[in-house]
Amino acid sequence: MKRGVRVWMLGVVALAACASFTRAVRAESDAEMFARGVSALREGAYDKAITLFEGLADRGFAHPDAAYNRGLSYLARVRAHAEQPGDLGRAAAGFEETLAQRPRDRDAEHALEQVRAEVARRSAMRGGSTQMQARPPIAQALVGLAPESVWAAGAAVGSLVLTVGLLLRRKATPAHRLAGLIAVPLGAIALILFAALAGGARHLRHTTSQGVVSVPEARLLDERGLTRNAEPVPEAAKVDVIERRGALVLIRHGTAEGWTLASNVRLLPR
Amino acid sequence: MTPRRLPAHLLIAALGCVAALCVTLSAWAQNAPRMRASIQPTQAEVGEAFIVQMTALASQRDPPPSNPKVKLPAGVVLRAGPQIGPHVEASMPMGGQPTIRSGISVTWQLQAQRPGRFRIGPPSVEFRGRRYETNVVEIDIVPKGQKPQRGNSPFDPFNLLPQLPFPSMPGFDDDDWPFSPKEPPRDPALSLPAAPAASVFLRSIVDKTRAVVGEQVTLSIYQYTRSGAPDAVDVHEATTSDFFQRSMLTPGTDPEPRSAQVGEHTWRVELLRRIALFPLKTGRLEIGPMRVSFAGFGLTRGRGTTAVRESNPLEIDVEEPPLNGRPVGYRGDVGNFSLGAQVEPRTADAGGAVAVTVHLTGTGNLPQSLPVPARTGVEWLDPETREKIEVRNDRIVGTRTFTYVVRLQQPGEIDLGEIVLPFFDPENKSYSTARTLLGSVKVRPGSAAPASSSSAERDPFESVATVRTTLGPVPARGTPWTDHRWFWILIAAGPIGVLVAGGLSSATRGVVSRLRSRQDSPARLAALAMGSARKAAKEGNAAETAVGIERAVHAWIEGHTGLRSRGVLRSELAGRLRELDIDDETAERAATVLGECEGIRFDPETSRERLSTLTRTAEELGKKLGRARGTKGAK
Repeated sequence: MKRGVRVWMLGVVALAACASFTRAVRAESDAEMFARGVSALREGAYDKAITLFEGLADRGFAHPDAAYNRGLSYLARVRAHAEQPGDLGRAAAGFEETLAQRPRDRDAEHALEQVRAEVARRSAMRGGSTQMQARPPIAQALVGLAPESVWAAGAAVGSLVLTVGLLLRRKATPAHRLAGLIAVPLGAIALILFAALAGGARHLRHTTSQGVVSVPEARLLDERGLTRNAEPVPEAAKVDVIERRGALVLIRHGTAEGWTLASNVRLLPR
Repeated sequence: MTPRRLPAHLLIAALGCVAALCVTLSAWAQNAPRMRASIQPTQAEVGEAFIVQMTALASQRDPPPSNPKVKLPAGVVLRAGPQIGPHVEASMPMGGQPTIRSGISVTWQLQAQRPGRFRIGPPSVEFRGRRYETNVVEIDIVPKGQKPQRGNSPFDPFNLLPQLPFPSMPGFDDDDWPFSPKEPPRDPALSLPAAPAASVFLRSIVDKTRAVVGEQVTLSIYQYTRSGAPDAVDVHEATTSDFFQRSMLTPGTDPEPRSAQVGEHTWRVELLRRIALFPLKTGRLEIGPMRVSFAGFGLTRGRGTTAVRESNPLEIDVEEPPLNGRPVGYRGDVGNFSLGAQVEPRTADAGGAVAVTVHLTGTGNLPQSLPVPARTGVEWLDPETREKIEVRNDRIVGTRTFTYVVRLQQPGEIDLGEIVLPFFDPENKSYSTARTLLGSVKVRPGSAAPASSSSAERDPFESVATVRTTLGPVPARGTPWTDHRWFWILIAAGPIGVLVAGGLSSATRGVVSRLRSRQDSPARLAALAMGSARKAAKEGNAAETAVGIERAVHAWIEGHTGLRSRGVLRSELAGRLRELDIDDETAERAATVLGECEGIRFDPETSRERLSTLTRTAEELGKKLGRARGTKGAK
């Protein structure tokens, strides 16, 4: 082999080794930070734990267990009577993030319920509303009745039934034609309905983000930033984030829609 | 020859005239005001101001001199004046009575426009209706920049003033001099190519135009004065709402003035403000102008008017410190800091407290608070803060001391942890961390109940699961079906495909059927038959010609009337055609043509001429039948 080629190959090997080493160092660093956060949380050093788990999130490390521990860190501060405004909302955001990445996480579901119950209880003590979950618009409610994959499967089945019905209608025997006569409308209705729901779910997924209110209450504003005459959104409530414009975000909580400060909402990663 | 002698009487007369002249002159001299003129400095640069001063004194019984004037040579112009003030002198001759004279002191401010030696004057005054002049004064004007810089006063070129008392002129204070004899040191950094305003203007300067949030930006505002000592009668400070600010000048002290070249002239420069600004946000932040209303010598034209001057506004581009290398827990502190702490006492009872004193020292905007290591069972109360801030090398430096009371609820060896303060050092453009370990405190079990007893209160989160110590598996999330184009294509492709296939099939069948029917149509059959008849007629084949013509005629009749004429007797054919609304001629001709065909069929000697005639007749018949439009439907 020529000398130049040998040198080139050595360089490539060295570069690959460096890259893998760097990747290994980076992964270890995230895990180390997670471990330090766990130690801090166990020791009761909730501020340090919050700093470490928030630092992990800032670095783009998205993991349901890190998000869960982040939620626990905020709860630890609340339980230590050193609560800062918005801690319950930030804890709820951590648990929501866990569920977004691991939908069947029972512990995160339970923790989220407890947080929202506590928010509702405090609101009730102040004479405010106890309703944490708001009714979404009808279209969104319909789309949200089942996962997107269910609607997609329904559309596929409807398409199949319609196709078979059309084929049967062309057969000579009356029985086949009758079967086709029934299958065609059924299949068409199923296809149109489920395809629309699947398309709607996809549209929502692409055009809206979700977030959790991380302040005691998020006041709804108009486009100019002036307060609207609307109920504020309570802490720890899950909202749809529709648009961002400068320091304001357009959110929807149930049927109520309005602008609020971006700092009032903790966005959930998609 | 002997010289002639002047007659004695002539001599006496001459002497008398001289004496009279002397007496007159003496009397005139005694009645004239006592005047003298001076100039300072005696050397100046082109464009630089210099002073010509004159005093004119008379006896106290006389009216004071007035209307002073000075003759100016070409190349010298008047800048200001004459400024006239009262002047009194007293003299005590040896053994005599004291003499007091009073009059005026006049000052002109001049400048030369070219180098050279100039004789200025003589200055003059009016006294008792007559004009009196005093001495001429001279000055050397050198080109700009060539005047030797002297630290000494122009009154005292040999630096004797510190030793000798300087006789001040009565009625004329040093402060009244419009131009201080001591020239401030020059600062080339303050030079400008041109003055934005006459006589006085303000100028704002910053030490940097790009900074990160929290980094010190030093703002200096200077007052440039050309001449005189204008008074600031109204001051509006520069707006710096996007900054936290701290003055860097010690109150009560005036910084030393300097001089600077502005265009062709030397101006006096005084520092009005020096402020440390710390940006509070990112973006292009504005420092507004400082506005001052001035009144004073050479600046205003009349009483009660002021000249308003504004400094230049400035913009600073501010951005966040870099993301790369940012430590965990960074709160936005910018500077260079160090921490030290003391904890006293190191033992306490449960429910008691210890004092933690933290010293934060450094350069920059010292943080107002510190991130304390809060943990369960350790309660940090709000601190008491003391600070000592000063300016060193144009930087804000200092120490801020935080004294915390820390309540300890749980007994045992409690590690207070450490205080960690990450910061961004703008000098080194890198992050660093100041930290101080607080150590442990031994907490004895106390008898008194803790101040905040959490056990008695309901813990709404006690059922929440504990911390997760490992990173578990994450369910794989594939791309939803609906994000794939093939999904939508497939669900539409089935029904659409069937519909399209069915449609294509029907269309194909229709086309085939139409093609077939076109092939079997009477018109086509007739055309084919006439074609073979014409060919046979050319060949002289009577039988074939007859067959072809017969086929064509029958096909025309069937195509236009529906009558299958092959089953109709030739003798009845014409009648049947008339019944079907075919005209007589055409009906007869049809029967005739068929008869002729029958005739020539078995006559092989039929001439070609006759065959072609018959063929033409048959073709005409075909056209007539086509135009005839007989009733269809007959069988």
